[in-house]
Amino acid sequence: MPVEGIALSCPTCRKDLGWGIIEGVQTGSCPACKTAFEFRPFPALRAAPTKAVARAAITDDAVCFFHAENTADAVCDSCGRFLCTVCSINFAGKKLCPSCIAISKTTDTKAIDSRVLYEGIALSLALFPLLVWPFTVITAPAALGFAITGWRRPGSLLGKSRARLIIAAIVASLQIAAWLLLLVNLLFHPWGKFHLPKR
Amino acid sequence: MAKEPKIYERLSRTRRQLGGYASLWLASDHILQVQSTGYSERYQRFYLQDIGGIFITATERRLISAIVSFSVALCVALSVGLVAHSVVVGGFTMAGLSAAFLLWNHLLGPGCKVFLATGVQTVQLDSLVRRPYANKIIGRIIPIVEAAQVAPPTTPPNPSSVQPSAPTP
Repeated sequence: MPVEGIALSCPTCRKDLGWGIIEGVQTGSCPACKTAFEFRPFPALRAAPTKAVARAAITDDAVCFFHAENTADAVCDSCGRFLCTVCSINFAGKKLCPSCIAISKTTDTKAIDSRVLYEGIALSLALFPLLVWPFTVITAPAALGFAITGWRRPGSLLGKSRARLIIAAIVASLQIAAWLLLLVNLLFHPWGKFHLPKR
Repeated sequence: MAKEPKIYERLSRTRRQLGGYASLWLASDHILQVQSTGYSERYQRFYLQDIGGIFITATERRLISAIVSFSVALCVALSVGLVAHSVVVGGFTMAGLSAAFLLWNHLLGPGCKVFLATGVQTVQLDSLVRRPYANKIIGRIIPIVEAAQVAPPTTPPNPSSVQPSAPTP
């Protein structure tokens, strides 16, 4: 019979393992899918889950911004709204409301769940089309655009590689210069349509 | 754009998988799993205080790698034998490549899957697929997680004592 704390489920079939108190490393198998596994518990496994219980507001009490029937027990560290115990969420060392947590997913490095790697896109657009060089007339400006955009945007949480952006920008610029040179050569070549008349 | 401070320390090496790369990183209060395609990255955080345990299951990765390695060695040996018009050359190529691949596969150890269990989810750590390496990384994680969970919790303020101030405009 599972005790208070984290209910464990099989990592393969996600069925409840129905384990009781666990001390030390356990080896066993899932009763449903028979997958054998080894399990290493941590103290959090036995921690009783905390439940937020909001208090009903009494006349003259400050009330929660999201639940007018609940007493305000905290203030959002970001926007300053009054919050009940249900809406006050401890996140990255602060008490935040659900709206500010949603906003922080795009701004706070501790909440962001994805990032676009402009350096990878710019480098791929600069190098791969060289295999079929006529496409570089389109991909070279695109690569340069991504390189410039990526320079100004935040990169990977693990560290931004400016070297790749620089390489992509240089290669793309060389390709653009080559195309311009080709265009000029075609325009002003004696065999071209718009060649300068002889004096 | 202001430079973002470096807050992550590498926990595991980057592992190539179908569609991208996976790696594990460690911050002061959480473990970060990064899945990258080369053009975008996806992040999953596991706060140290929330980790209930670690599951390890065995897989047939070593056997499958051996079969694949043997097949590749056979193809290469056949090609070399055909080019050299010599069965002996092909045979020696096959033996050498097979021995190298199988030795490398054996030294990597048996295959495994590692899962982190929290109160709301059980998530696979994609960068840990071989048992010896997984044991090494888990050995690094265990004291860090235990230290974070055994530390005395900060006493939450008594709700009745909180005096909300006026909200900022």
